[in-house]
Amino acid sequence: MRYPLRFLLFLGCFFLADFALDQAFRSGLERYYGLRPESRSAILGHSHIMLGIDVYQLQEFYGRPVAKYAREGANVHDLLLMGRHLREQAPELERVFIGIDPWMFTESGLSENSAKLFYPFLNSPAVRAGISEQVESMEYLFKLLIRSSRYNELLMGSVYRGYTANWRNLKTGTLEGQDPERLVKNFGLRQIQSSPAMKETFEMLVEEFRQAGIEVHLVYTPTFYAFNAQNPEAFQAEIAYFQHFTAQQEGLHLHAFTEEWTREAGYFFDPIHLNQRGQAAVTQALIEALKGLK
Amino acid sequence: MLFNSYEFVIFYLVILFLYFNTNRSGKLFVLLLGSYYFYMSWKWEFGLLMFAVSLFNWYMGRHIFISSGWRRKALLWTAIAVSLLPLFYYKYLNFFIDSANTLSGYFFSPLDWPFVAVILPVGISFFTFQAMSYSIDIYRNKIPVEENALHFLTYVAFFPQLIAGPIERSTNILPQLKKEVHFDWILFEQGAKLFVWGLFKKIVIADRLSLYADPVFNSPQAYEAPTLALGTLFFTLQIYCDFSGYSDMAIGIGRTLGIRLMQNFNLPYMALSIGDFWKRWHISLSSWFGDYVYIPLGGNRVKVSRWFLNIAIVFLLSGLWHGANWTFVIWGALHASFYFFEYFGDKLLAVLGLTGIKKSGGYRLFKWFSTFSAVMLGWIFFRANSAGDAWYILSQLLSWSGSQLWTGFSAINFYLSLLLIAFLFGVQLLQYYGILGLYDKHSRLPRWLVNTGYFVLLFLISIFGVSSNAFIYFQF
Repeated sequence: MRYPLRFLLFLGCFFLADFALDQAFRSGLERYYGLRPESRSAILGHSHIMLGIDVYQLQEFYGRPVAKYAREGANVHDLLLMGRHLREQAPELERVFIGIDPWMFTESGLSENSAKLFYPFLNSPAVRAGISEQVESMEYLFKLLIRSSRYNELLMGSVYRGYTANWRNLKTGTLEGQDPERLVKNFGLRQIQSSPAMKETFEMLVEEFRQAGIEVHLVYTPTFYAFNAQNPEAFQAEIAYFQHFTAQQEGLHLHAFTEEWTREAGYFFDPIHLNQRGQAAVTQALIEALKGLK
Repeated sequence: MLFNSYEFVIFYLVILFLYFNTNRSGKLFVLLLGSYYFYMSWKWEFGLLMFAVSLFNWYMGRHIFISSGWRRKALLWTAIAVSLLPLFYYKYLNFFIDSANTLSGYFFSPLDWPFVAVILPVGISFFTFQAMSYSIDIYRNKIPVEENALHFLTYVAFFPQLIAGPIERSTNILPQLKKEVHFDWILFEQGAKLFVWGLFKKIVIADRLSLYADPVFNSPQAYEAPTLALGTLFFTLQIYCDFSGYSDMAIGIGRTLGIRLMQNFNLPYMALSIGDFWKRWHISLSSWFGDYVYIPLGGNRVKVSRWFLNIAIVFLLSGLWHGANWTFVIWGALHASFYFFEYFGDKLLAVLGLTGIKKSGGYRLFKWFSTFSAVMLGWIFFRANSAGDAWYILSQLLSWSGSQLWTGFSAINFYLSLLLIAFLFGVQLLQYYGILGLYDKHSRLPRWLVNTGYFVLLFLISIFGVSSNAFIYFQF
């Protein structure tokens, strides 16, 4: 066969395989995140709520599949985009549980390339609109052209979990018996410095859900008390903000697992993430609270 | 502009189009202007420096060619000294100032000479050595003088190998620049495959291993022996994949343009001795030092003591070439001592009448393992931020303190790294036994299988490629 023809055939095969891989990977991701039209309830947030709420228990409670659209390192701007994407994919959504914490309005320490998390969903108008200005134009064009380049090893892990329907929290370690101060020091300190712009984005996120007639629950899954004690006044101020914000709006619910929850060393895998035990306990408590609302 | 950047893709496609759509002199201009644009994309002043070094050597070459006697020799030394001046200023001046300040403190009051604020031009050691070799070859009557300055400037600046080698010789490149070149699909396919393999080694293996090796070498005190050992192994493979990956990409790009560059690596981690390792690692630099330092010093046609000295000089200079830091000098000295150790080992075998065991599989395995371990040990000094850090890592490894193994910031990444190492060794074994061909060797595997392998590599690059890190050898 002549070389130019072989080259064209190669290009054809490449783009065909690229398209097929993208379809397969994206389908796995959508299963993992529950981005499907039949979803009525959804969990939205970052790693705190990802490890903090057990999707199986909630599904049992509601008797229907629950979407868990949570990603490591997602900041408030990402949550706004994820919320729009979620509503686009699940138009009949009835309620959403948004993960909150006192550090979510702190700009420093945020991931600068979180837009990359959304590459697999470039087909979505909401995602395209949200990230096209955040990434370099050349990179953006490349991701549009070569679909398999939208994935990485972390997303591949989620694809695998999506196909095996596995949303389990695999963390079993605890903080029991460890020196709290040393633990927090080794983990790394993070100051709370509230940004008005990020609060505004957060309020927009909540408002957009409410405008769409979706019930909103704000869920603070506990963080270890020694970690919270780095700047106790700022911590309390942020919790008070959430309380005030919730009290102002009818039909908005706050589930803040503070006080004694933050001192249960056996519930934590590290100072900011819950292990299996912690997840089960917090989810059960959330379900009890939801029963009270019914 | 890195090979693994989007800018380079555009740059390359433009060059490829213009190159094959112009006549012979047009091709030369495309390569020359393209190469300078490529180099000046880092910092435009660097281009002026390279231009000056190149033009000076071209000019001196002409004068050396027509001179004779002491004048010829004086011109050669002038060419060498002036060529090395920028290299000394940018790369070694602060090292000497620092060493002088420290040393003076041991004997009398410290000199406290201030440091000079300079930015090291990328690839300065590569283009300096390449330009200088031309003047030396003219002096030795090994090559004819190049009348056309454009040819010479293009030879020094040829963008695929400009930043990190292979360090080419004028005898290889200049004749190719003068030949009429037409687009050749076979060369294009070979070049593209080499580029893909090099890119895979760089962004899938090397950059991923660096995610583990970098934190370990940046703060070794935070880790215990198993982690330090694994970090050293990861760096050993990282530097190979980084540097040989760049070389393969350079050779691949060259081939797509119809220009054959020399092979720079030949499975160095399959070497059975340190001597063998240096015939397989950074071949263009080893042969440069062989031709322009070792042979003029007398090579091995001298007394044993002088030969030892020659070997030591070459290894120390090679260490210093890599960087202005005592860790690189120690790295060079270590390799020299490994070389001597092997020499005496062979002598001992001969005295004991045991040379027959050299053919046994067990002995070969032992030689491979000892060579690989020695090379790994050398890399500790090469990579460590200071000699103190290197000694610390070495002492921890020798005393094997602690048992905790850090699995990196991400468990997925850690296990993926181990999988990639196994894959790399698998491919290297296939290449070693000639089952899988690279460069100009043919594969014994069916063509469809090899092509499918490259096809899969493309997707592995696309999915598992880590974002573009600079190449380690750019700093040299």
